[in-house]
Amino acid sequence: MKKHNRRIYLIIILMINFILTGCWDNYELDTISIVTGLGIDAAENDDEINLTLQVDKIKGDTGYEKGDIGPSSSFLIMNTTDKGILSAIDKLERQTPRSIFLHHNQVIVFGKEQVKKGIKKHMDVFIREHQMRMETWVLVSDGTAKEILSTPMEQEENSSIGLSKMIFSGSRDYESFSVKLIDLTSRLMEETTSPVIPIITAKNEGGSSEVEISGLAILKGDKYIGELDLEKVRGYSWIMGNCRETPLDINTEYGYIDASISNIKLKNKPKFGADGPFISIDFKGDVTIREIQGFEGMNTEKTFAILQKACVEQLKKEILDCFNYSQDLNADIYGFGEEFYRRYPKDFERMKEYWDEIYPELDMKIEVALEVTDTGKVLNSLYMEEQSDENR
Amino acid sequence: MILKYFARKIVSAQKRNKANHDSMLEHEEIVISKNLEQNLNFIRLSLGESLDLKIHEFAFGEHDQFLGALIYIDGLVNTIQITEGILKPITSNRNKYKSSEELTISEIRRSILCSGSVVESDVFSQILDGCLSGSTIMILDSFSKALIINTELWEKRNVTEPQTESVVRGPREGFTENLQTNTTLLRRRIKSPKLKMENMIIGHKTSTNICIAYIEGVARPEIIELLRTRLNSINVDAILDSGYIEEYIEESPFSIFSTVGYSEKPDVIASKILEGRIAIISDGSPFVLTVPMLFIESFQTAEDYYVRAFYASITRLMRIFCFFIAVFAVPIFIALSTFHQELIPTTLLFTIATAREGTPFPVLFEALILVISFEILREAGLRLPRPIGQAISIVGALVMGDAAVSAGIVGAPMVITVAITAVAGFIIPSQADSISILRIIMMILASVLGGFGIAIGFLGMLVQLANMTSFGVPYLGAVTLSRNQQDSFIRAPLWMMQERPEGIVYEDKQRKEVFIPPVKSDENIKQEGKDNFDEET
Repeated sequence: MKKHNRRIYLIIILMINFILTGCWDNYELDTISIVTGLGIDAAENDDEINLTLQVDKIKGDTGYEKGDIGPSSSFLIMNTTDKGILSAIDKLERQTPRSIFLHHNQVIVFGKEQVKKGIKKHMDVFIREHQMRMETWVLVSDGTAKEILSTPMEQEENSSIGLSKMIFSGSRDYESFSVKLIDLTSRLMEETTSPVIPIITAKNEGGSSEVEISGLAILKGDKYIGELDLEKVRGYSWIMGNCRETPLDINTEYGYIDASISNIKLKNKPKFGADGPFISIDFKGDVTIREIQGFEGMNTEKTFAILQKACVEQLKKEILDCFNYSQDLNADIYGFGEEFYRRYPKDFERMKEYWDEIYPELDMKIEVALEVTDTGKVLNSLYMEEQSDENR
Repeated sequence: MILKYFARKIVSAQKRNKANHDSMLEHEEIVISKNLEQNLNFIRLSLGESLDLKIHEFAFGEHDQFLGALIYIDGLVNTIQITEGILKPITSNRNKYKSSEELTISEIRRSILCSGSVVESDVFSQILDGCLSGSTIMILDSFSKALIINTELWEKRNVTEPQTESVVRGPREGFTENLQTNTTLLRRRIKSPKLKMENMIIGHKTSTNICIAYIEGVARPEIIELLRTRLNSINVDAILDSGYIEEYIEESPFSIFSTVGYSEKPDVIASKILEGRIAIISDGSPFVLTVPMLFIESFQTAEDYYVRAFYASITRLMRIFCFFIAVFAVPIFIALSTFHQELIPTTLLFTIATAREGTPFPVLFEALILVISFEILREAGLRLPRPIGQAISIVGALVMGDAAVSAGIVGAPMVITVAITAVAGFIIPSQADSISILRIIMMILASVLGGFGIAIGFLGMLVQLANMTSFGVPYLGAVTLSRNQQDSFIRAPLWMMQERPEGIVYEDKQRKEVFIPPVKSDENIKQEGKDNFDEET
């Protein structure tokens, strides 16, 4: 009998152990503020940063009568200045009734001023703190980060979620726009590569404000040195091999053509030639015609021949424009150094120290082969000569 | 462990009781006397002046010199049979019985027209038993023997479609409360001489007829023996439904999972018997029990075998999935929204948070309110007469689904979660009780320890399931990898299942001789036909 009693007590004590530990990790949803965006701006003091948090404002509705909620600002902006990011968050936490919840952070926005000062020392907290996710988008604001985070978005209740959707859809055209925290970290770890981060601009036009992606910021080391505008971004994307179906508009003397290039097969090889190292680029792709204006009275074959030639020239021009610009800045945004290292590890060991001198002198040899494969629903445009007439 | 302790305590108490009962039963049998009046008085005394006890005295013979009496319980007997079959042949034929020398009990017995059995007896306990189970007793003056004539006829329900297990495709017969009808329904399905039906009487007061049915050579003798001993050791005064038997013979009386299967459909029971299980039919209950029962049987339905294998397999997988939804959906919701908010997609989190905003209770409490009020509504809907039950469900749906949300007592996502949980629970009727209990346990664990608590609860559930046996057969039997996989998570085509499930079956293992898909033989025929055709051309 006694033995059984002891067993029962044991079980009860074990059960109580479970329950008495309490819900120490328990947060009800109405006790947390969900951070959707995090911005870091330069503060007046060089040691400090100005932290902006965008917190989703949960409206106390019960799921009914959603109609009468005002369209604007469904989020709060919190702002403070401190030395570190987490200490700033702690400071903000004292000002709010709820605890700050960072897991759902969508975007990290750096103010341009802060990027000019360097971001390396603030990256540590993003890598170390377990609430920070490595797949958060990273952006650079053309102005301040606060300005971006406090701009409401038309179709989205929460502008950070809107921003992340915007980057996502933007990266369908140019994958270079999708820079996640993990991408940035790995680029920063490569010694010769200059990381790029998409730039976002807040525009204020007649009362209504909106944001747009305006280019790519180029960082040398961890500091801002320049930026690529949208046209150069395209030139950059061609070589980075992350274009799936990218539009290309060409103005020829006969008319205007909007085409898109798909099925891209790209080989970029670093090589050593007689004049030293160079990059050889072999570009193949299919051209799809999206729109033709002009070319009156010309037959299709001639048009396509012109088109093909123009496309090749345009592509070469765009690629070289971007490349030359990066050479002017002496920023290896393509990661060619890394490419050399992979192919010729021993040679690169020697080159590495002089890479800053080699890169501006680097040659690029481009081979472009394009073919018109798809003309859309029709072959000819209205003004163009009918091919069937000619054959008759 | 607590449970085992109680179990042991109860077993010892049972032993003590049994000794008392046995001494009570062992009294001396009282024998019938030659005096009719004395016998009748004894019967009146033992049955009391019951309203339904009828004693019909009559005289017969050439000069009405012989006296006799018919004793029966009104309502249990066929009165037409009594007058036409018993009284008429004896009293109308006046010349037959002239003197007392000619009159013997066997002579009378021969002249009775009766479809059932006629038994001679001189022990009062037998006579009373017979009388109470619908026989007519004939006692004659100056004879020390009585005739027990089977004249049973009472009101019984027709064979109708069972309410609990309706099918779209398949037989629609259901068992009734009558034992004979039920055994007939089984016999009609299995016309093998190997189908054995053993009779038993359990209950001092109710004397309920119990029948255990199995196929010799298919059912394991040790399981049959175990069942017999367990049934024999039942020492109670009343068995009113097969549910009584279930509780007395199950192996894990403190488990929330049932280890005895039941069904209301003869086709289901027949298929279980053919798989080596033993059926226990109890008089007065349309629910027939089967042992041993495996956990996976809860997810099998009759219709699985009447529709094609692919669809049957998909629905069975869905049923297993529904079991998990029914148990874990609410706990997971609780765990996610109080411990692991980072696992919820951001936009969904906003939706849930919006609904949570302004509700006054913690998530666990909110869930408990809904789950318990759902159980209340279900119980109310079940017990009330059907027309009122509908009214209750309308009130319930409005109060729970709409008013509670718009009043801000509970959040809408929680209502949805509880609703899907409730509906999923109904898909597995034989585990509905264990699901309700498990759900509440898991909810509490989830609210205390989050996902870790759910993991602990799930492990505990698995340990419990794996530890259980039903009549010596592991309860999780067919779920583990074995040949029985053919009929567990999926239902293999019937032609593929050539052997009966392992672990239950004794010697007669083959269902069919060879493993041949039916298509192949057809192809052979076609091939032959084609050859012939070629030769002709």
